[in-house]
Amino acid sequence: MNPDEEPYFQERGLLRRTIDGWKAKVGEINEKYKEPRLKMTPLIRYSLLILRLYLIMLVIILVYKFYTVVSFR
Amino acid sequence: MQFGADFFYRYRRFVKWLSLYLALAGPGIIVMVADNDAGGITTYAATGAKFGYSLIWFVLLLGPAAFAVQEMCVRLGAVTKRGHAEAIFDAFGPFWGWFSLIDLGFLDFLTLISEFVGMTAALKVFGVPPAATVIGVSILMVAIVMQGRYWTWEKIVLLFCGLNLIYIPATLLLHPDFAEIQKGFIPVFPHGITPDIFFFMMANIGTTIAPWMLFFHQSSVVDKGLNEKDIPWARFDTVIGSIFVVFVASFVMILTGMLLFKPGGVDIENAAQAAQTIMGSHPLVGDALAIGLFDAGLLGAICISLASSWAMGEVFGWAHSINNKVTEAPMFYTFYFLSLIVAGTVVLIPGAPLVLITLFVQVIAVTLLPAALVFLILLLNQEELMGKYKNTLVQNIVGFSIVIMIVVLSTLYALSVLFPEMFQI
Repeated sequence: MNPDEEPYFQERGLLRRTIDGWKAKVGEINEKYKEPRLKMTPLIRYSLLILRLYLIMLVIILVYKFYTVVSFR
Repeated sequence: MQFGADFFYRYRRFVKWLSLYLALAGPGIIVMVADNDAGGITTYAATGAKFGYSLIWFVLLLGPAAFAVQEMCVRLGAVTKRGHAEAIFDAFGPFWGWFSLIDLGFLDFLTLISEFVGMTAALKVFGVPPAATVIGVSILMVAIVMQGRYWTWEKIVLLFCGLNLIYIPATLLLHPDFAEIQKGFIPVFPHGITPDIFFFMMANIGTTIAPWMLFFHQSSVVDKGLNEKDIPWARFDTVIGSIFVVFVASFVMILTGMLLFKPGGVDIENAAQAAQTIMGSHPLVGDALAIGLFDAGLLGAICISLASSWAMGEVFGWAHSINNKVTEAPMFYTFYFLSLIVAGTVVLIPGAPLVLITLFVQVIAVTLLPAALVFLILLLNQEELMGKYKNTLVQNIVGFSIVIMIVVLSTLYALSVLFPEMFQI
C-alpha cells in the first residue's frame, strides 16, 4: 500500500502543506513590503532607533521580572 | 412671513445636515464608547470609590488627548484607504509590521479575555452562569457581523453605545449634590500627589488611550468607505465620541464616589463587586452598574475582535470587510470566530489566571502603544502620502506632547504593575 494513501500520512501531508502554505504567504508578505515606502530621514531613523532601545529595555525588565518570580518560588 | 420662510429654510438645512451626519456617524463614536470597556468602567469605578470626585478633572482632560490621537487615525485611513497594520508594513517594512501585528494579536486576545471576565462577572450579579454568558455573547457577536452589511452592523453597535449612557439616569436617581461635584472640576490634589493617586491617574490614561483603538478606528474608516471629503464629518463624529467617553467616565466616578467613597478611600477590585455592594442599599442603581458593565464588555469585545481580524485581513490579503458575506471572506470571519471562542473558553477554565491576565494586558499594551503612536505621527508627516492632510506644526506640537506624555505615564504604569513596591513610600 502506498504510504501516502494511509490516513496518518495524508494527515501529515495536510499539516505540512498548511505550514508550507503559511510560510510561503509570510515570505510573500516580506517580499511585498521589503522596501519601506518611507524615506529614512534622520528624524525617522532616530525615532525608530529610540523605539528599538525602548522595546529592548522593556524586554529586559520583563525578563528580570520573570526571573525574580521564578527564583522566589 | 419672512420669519416663517427663514425658519423653514434653517429647519430644512438642519435636517439635511443631521441626516448627512447620521449617515456618516459611527466609527468615531463607536471607538470612543468602546474605549469605556469592562476594564475602563472598573478603573473609573475604582477611582471614584478611592478618591471620590477629586479626579473628575483629570478624566475630562483625557477627552481632548484621546480625540487628538484618534483624529490622526481618521485622516490616515480616509486619505490612504489602508488600515493601521497595513500602513505600518508598507511604510516601515516587515520588521515593524510583524512586530505590530503579532503584538496587536496577542494584546487583543488578552484584552478580549478581560472583556469576557467583565461580562461574566456583570451577569453573575443577576445569577446568570458564566457558561451561559459566554455562549450567549458569542452567538450575539457572530449574528451581528454575519448579516453582511457594515451599515447594519454599525447601527446595531451604536444602539449598544446608547446603552452606555445608563450611568447617567442611575446617578441622577441618587439626587447628587452638584455643588459638591463641581469641586471635582478644579485640578487640585487634596492630599498631594501620593503614589496611590499617581497609580490611578496612570491607570485612567492606560484605559482611555489603548493600542487597539488606533487599529480599529483606522480600519473602520476604511471599511465604511470614508474619503478625504468626509474628514470634517468623521472628525466631528470623533469629537462627539470623545465628549461621550469622558461624560460616561465622569458619571461612573460620581456614582461610586457618592455611594462607596469614604474618607481615606475604599478599594474595590472590579465594577461587578461595586455593583453588588451598591445593590444592598440601592438595587436599581446596582442593577444599572452591572448592566452598564456588561454592555461595556460587549462593546469592547466587538471592537477588539474586529480590530485584530481587520489587521490580519489587511496584511494577509484576505477579503476583510463586514460588507462581505461569510463565504466571500472565510478567513476573516474564521479568525473573528476563533478569537471569540478561544477567549470565551479561557474564561470558563477552572483556575485560569484571570487576574494575572488582566494585569498582563497593561504591560503588553505598553510594548505596542508607543510604537503605534510613533508610527502614526511619522506617517501623518509624510507629504507624499498625506498631501494637504499632513500634520500642521500645531498638530505636531500637540501630537508629540500627547505621545510623550502617554508613553512616559503608561510606561510608569506598567512598571508599577510589575513592581508595586517601587511606587510605595
